[in-house]
Amino acid sequence: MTSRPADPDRPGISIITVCMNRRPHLLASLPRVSAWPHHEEHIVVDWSSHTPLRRDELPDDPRIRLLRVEGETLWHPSLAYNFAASQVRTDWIFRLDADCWVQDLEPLELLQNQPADGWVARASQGGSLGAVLVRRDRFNAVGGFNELMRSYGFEDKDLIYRLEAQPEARIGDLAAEHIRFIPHNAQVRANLPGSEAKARALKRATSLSNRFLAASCPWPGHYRRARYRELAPGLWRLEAGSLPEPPQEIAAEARRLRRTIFWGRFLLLPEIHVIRAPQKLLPSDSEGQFPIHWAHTLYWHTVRRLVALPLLILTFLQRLVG
Amino acid sequence: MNRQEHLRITAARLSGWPHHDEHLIVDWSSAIPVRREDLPEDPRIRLHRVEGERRWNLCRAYNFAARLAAGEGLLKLDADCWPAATADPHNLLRKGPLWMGTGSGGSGGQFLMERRLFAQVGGFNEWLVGWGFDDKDLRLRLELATALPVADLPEGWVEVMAHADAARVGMGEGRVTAIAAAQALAALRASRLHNRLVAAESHWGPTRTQTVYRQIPSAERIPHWTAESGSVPVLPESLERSLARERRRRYWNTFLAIPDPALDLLPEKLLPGDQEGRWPVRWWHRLYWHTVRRLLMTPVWILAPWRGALGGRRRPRRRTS
Repeated sequence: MTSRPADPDRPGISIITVCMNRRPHLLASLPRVSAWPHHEEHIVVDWSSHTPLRRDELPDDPRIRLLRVEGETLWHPSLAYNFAASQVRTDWIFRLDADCWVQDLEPLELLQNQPADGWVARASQGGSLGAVLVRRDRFNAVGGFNELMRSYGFEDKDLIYRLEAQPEARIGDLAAEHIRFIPHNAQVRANLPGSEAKARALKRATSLSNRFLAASCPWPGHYRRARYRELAPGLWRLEAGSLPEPPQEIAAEARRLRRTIFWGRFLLLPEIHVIRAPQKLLPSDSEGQFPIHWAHTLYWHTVRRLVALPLLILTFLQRLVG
Repeated sequence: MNRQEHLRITAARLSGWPHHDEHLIVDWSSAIPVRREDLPEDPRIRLHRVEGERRWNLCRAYNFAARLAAGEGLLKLDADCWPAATADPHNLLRKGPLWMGTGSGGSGGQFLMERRLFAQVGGFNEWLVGWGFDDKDLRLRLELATALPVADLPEGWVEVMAHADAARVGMGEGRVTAIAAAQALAALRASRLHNRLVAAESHWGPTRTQTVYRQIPSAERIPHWTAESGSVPVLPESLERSLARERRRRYWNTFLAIPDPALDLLPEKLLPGDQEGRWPVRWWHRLYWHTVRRLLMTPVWILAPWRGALGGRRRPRRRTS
C-alpha cells in the first residue's frame, strides 16, 4: 500500500535507518530526524542489538516504525538496509545511518532544481557517505544493496555505481551541508568490541574483499535477496538458507584476501608472511570475526610497536617539516 | 607485445589448422617489430601494427583486433596459444554461442564466441590495464548482458606454451633472474588488483567509447596504426588517485615485503608509484631485496616445514603458463 502525501507533487519519502548496538548515536540523531517535516515514515531496524531497542525510548513521532531482526551475529549493512527497504510504503527511499540527520533539505526544491532519480552523498563528504535518496523502483531495479558483501565497507559506493550504470538513470549529489553526522571512530562503525587498531584493520579487509566480490559476482545477476519470516508483529528472523552466497571459489578467495589484509594491517606484517604463515597462527575470519589470541596481543604490544617505532618517528618528522 | 618467439611457434601451429578464414595478428608496439616474413606463408594471416604504445594493454589490443576482424565468430588466442588439431569451432558454435576457457593455466583467457555478443557488451573493458581479471570481467558482463550461459571450452581444446610471469607482463622471454621474477610477480599482482578494483567501481559496456585508432603511413606493407590522442578511456581523477595508491601498496608489499601501513607513511620518492605501468626500481631497492627482504623471509622459511603440522593449507602447485 502506498501512503500519499498531502501535496500530490511532493515526493512520498520513507527514511530507513538500521542499527546494531549504536543506541547512543541513534538516540541522539532520531529527534533531529523527527524534526524534519518532509518524510512520511521512518523505518528503524534494530539488527539484533544485544540490548533490543524499545519504542518508548525513541521520539514520540508516529512516523517511526521500529522493527527488529533477531538472531544475527554479524553487522551486515547490505542485508539490514535491504530488509528496511522491503518494508517501505512510499515511492522514495532515503537511507540515513544511525549517526546522521537531515538539515535544511527541501525535497520538492531538490526535485525541481536538480531533477533526478536519486541523489547521493559522495566520498568527499566523510561520515555522511552512504546517505542516499532514491526512487524505490530504481533501487529495486538494481537489486538494492549487494547482499554477497560481508560486514561493512564499499556497499554504499557499490549501490551508487550500480544506480549510475542503469540506462538513462540520473543520479545527483546531496550537498554536504544537508546531511549532518556525529563524528566517531572506526570501532563504532564496525560494531566491533576491542581495539581501534583491530577495527581499522577489519574495515580495510572487508572493504577490499567487498570490492573483490562486487567485481567477481555482479549483483543481483542471478542471485535473490535474503528472505525473512515474521515471528511476531515487528519481530523478524532471516530464513535459514536464504542468504545469497558467492560461488565457493570466489568466497574462498575473498576470505584469503581478508586474512592477508587484516593480519598485515593489524600486526604490521608483509603480505607474504601472512600468506605463508600457518592458519593456526594467523587464522581466517569466521563469520566476519578474526580470533585474536593472547599471542597476537603480545606481538602487537611488543614486536609491532618496535617495528612501528621508526614509522612513528617518520610521521613525527613529516609533521614537523610539512 | 615483445613475444615474437612464442608467436613464431604458435602461428605455425595455427596455420596448420583448417577451421579459420583469417588470423589477425596485432603487434602492440613491440620493441622489435614483428615482420611478415617471420610468420608462416599463410594468406589467412593479417598482420597489423599499433605504434606508440608504451605498455601492454590486453583489453585495448584485443578490442582493436576484434574491430579489424571480418568473421562472424571470434576465436581469441594469446600469442602462446593454439587450438588443438581436433578442435572444431563450427561444431562448438552450433552447440552454443559463447565458449570461454577456464582454469589458472593460459587457456583461461581464451574464448570462442559470436562476434555480435562481444559487441553487445562493448568488448573488453578498456579501463583495465596490464594483465589480469580482463577475462573474468568479460565473462561476467557477457553473463549479465546476454543472459546466455557461458560454456567452458572443452579441456585440451586450446593448447598453451609454458612460460614465466615475466613474459606475460611484456618483460621479454630471455632468462629470468630471481629478482626479475619477483618484480614481474609484483607488477602482475598490482595490475590484477587494479583491474579488480576498476571492475568493482566502474561499469564498462557498449555505451562506453573505445579507443579510436588512425592509420599512419608506413614504408612496409604492414598497416600501421596509432591511437588518436585523447581517445583512450580514462577513469575519473579521484578514482585513478586511489587506484594508484592501491597499486603502489601492492607492488612494494609484494616485491620488498613492506607492510601497507609502512608504505602509506614512507615517502613516494623512496618507493614511487608506477608510471604508466612501469615501476622505477633503483639500485637501493635491489640492495634491499637482496639483503633486508631475504632476512625478513627467515621466519617464513623457518615456519615453512611446520605449515602442515600447524594446520596450514597447502596450495596446489600451479601449472606455469
